[in-house]
Amino acid sequence: MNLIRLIPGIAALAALAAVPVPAGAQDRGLPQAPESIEPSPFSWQCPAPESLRRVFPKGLVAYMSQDKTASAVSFRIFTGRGSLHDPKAKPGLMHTTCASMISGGTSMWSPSHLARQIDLLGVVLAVDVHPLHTVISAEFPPENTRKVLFLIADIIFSPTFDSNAVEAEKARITQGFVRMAADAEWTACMNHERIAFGLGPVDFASWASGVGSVERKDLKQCHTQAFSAPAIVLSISGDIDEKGVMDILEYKFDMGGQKDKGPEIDAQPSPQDAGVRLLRSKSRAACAAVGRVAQSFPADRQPALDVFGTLVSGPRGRAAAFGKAGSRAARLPMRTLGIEAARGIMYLRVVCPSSDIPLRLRELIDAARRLASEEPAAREFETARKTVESHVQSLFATRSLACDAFASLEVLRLPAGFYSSYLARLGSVTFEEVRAVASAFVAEPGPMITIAGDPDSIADAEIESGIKLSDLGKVTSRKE
Amino acid sequence: MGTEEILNPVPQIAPPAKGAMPATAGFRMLRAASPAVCALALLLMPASAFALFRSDVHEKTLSNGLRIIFVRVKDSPRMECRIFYRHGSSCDPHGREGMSSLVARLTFSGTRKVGSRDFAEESAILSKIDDFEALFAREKIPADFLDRLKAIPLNLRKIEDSIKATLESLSESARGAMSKEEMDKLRAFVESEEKKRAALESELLELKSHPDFLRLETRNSIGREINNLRKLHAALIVPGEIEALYARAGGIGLSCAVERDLVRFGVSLPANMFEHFLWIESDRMRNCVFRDFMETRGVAALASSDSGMSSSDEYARELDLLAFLCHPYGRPPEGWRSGIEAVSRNEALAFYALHYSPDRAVIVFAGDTEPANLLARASDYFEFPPSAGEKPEPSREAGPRQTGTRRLAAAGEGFPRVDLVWRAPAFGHDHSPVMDLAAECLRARSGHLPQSLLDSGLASGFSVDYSPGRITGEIRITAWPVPKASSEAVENAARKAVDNLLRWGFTSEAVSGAAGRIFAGWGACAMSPPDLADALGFAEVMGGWASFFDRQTAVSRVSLDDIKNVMNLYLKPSNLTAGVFAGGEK
Repeated sequence: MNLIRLIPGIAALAALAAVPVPAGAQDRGLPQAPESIEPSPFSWQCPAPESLRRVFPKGLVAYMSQDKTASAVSFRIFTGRGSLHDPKAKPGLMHTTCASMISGGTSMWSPSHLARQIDLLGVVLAVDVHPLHTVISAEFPPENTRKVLFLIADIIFSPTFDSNAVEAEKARITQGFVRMAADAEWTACMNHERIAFGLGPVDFASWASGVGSVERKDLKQCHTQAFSAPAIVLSISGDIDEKGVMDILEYKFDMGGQKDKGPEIDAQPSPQDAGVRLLRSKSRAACAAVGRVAQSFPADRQPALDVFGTLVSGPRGRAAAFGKAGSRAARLPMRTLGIEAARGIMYLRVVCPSSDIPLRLRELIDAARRLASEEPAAREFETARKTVESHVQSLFATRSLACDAFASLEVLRLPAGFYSSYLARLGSVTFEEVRAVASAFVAEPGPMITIAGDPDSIADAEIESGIKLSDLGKVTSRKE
Repeated sequence: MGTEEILNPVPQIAPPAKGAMPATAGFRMLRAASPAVCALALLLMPASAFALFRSDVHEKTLSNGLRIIFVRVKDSPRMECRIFYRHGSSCDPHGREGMSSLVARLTFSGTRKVGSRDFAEESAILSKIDDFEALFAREKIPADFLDRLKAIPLNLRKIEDSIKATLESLSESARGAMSKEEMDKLRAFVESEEKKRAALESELLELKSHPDFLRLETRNSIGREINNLRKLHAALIVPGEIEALYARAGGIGLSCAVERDLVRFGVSLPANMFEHFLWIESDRMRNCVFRDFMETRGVAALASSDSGMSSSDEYARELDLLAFLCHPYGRPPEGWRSGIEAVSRNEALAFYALHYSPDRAVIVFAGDTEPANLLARASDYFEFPPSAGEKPEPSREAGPRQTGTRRLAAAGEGFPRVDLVWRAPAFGHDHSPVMDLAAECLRARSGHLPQSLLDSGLASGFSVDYSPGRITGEIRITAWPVPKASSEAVENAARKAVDNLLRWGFTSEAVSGAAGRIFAGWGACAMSPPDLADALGFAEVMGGWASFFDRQTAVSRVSLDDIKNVMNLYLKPSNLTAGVFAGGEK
């Protein structure tokens, strides 16, 4: 007998023998199952925004939280203008505006001096342009608070948009698109959001042309709309002297002005946008985003939407994707399956190899369809509610996060008491409400689907699985 | 450094007012504090801040070697829970690269208590499945034979669809109105497709008479037996019960990641539910069963294979391999397909038994609860003997001595990039804090590097990362050339900028600003409990979380000359691996 062949087996047996006998849980009085654990009483209520909200004499709103153990200051400027507010012919305008504000100098600092000041003051400065809002964030050492706030006020209110710097930013942002487009998930989600709001997809050519056509006057107009004093909400937390900071904010940021109704989206969504859009992406994973046009899901139905999304993409969706032993999907890892919900747009997404897209998509939609008719078990429903509650809790895990959550709520023009009443609304969500969401989600003319993946692999998978994308809606394919 | 995110099964819900939206929502135009930066910045905290911070950290070492760290985050409704194991892809046995990743996946299939309706009965079936799978594995069929066999029906269906689609596109009336030339063209098309079909059918007949086909039939009959047993097995198991247990306890963000030096499991629970984590993870540490071994191995092998990988991903893997030639850090965390496919269930169980042991683990909590109660409860669950056997440490072999710059030039579809990778000091090395500062100085927007790359219009972006590991580290500059710039020009510009810095060093103002930015990054990390739990666990695995203090002292003593000397020691051509990826499509 070949002993060498036996070695791994012997090693495994020896190792298993070395593993101590399981728990002896009863001996130590430990619960036999997690269900038997009796957690200590715990109740959580969303903090009231008023406890963190400060309103300045000329109307500026800032959320503030002092934490002397934080050892740094986190300062964020929120505005309710995002990438979806760019004119249809100028996608990328908000990205260009924000980048140029930071690199293009101010009335006080030339571009190179500004960069140097930012570095020397130890500021980590970042811009995040989201679909419906934008955040400029800065983290810096507490001892530099005064100087940094002065500097940022200058960047926000007095950018000069130096022409050389703007041209350089335009080139970088154009190229940045190519880099981001290499990520299928980014491509699918960004385009899905645009299509849902009626703006249509964007590719490199339209992006490059949009960014290329941006002129200084466009930047100024976009800047005025997004960063006038009444349009912004601030969040500042960490090791701050609240009184001192309030004085600086009043002096440098509370500039007054008339608050307008905010930016509008330059398009109207249409039910005609339903169907399947296949965008080419050669990244390792493909992504399919599944949703409806923007109006289908108003914000006031948020808790029911969240429960629906959790039920579909949670254990139920995963059971659909993985539960069939021997199926192709059962052998593949699920990278992401998530839900986005923001002011009237909600969609599910699945990230997987291109060759799995038809099967995963079918199963995801089937899971949604079943919810339109089949009531989930009480425990499943309760678990979904608990998961949603957990996500809300995590937004308020620290006071600093709470400041950010409230500030973004404000620029998204959602009701101030949105979170205060959220848990109560969540607790009263019924299956009928979830069923209504599910029915709307799968109703004719069918969901809107945006796929970023390899069309050849997807086409082969359609043949192999017998699931045709055309069965899910009219397919529009784009080579680039 | 590479990380393989194995699992992120819990849906990510982003209610509308979430402060930080996912990357898909927009792209960052300026650098932000990454967890890595947070971890590094923690090393640079001033003593006063450390004092405040330390008073919130509680720790305990059990008699079996398990380390428990708890950082109190006042008023937080959540408890961030992590368990780190002190082995990563660098500990994978030779020829079994990917073992850590595979075993981490397998631990999600449940334990004797979790995921089974009747473990005694299940165990008997699992043993039979093992026997049949061993027989199945013996009947090896060449991959090209299988590929040919699999491709034929697919191609036949493609031909059928193509003929059908062409004919359907012509209505009756259109067919009547077709010119002779068009009719001939159509006939020629159909005949050509029919010829292809005949060729494929004849190839199929030929393959069916091949000895491998007979072996395939034997294999298929074993496969059917396995499937029958699996059906019986399926009735006895509760799939995904670990996830479900966490979800029912209010858990979100369940994750698992394999890195070069560690394996990390994490979840966020309501503040009062941490005991669920203790129960599930203490059970997972001892009682895993490795259900669905073959399927999970197939998934892991697929994740590690080149198939479906973009050219750019392949280039990144190859560059790591070259920079860490014959070194355990050269392996991708997900391993090699051949390594994973060579792993047997017994080998995986042996690896699990050895490494998933309290003396190899660190537990970290970040949240708000009574520290004494949490530490005592953790002891109750984890106070059991460690596994026997010698725990292998990753090989410290440095591979062949580098005598000059190593180069990789690759092309393919993707965005062009240039990478400069220097081997750098390990986490515990005296030079490591100096390198932290040097890397931050290199990143500075007003520094020489961005001037050479961005302001000159050569690159659309760049990054500098210093990643210290347990054995060694790396400092990496990556630049993305603009279309009109050659990769060579970008590489030369970056190297010239580095050479100038090696000669002249940084100003004291630049170093002070860099320290401030690292410090600010830590501040952001401290305000985010998930990042804090990750940073503390990472540091503990690397050398003890208290080593932050020693390193902080070391950083405070760093002089401008130290930075210059350390940079000159590491950032030299004979320590460099340069990579150029010339992208294809724009």
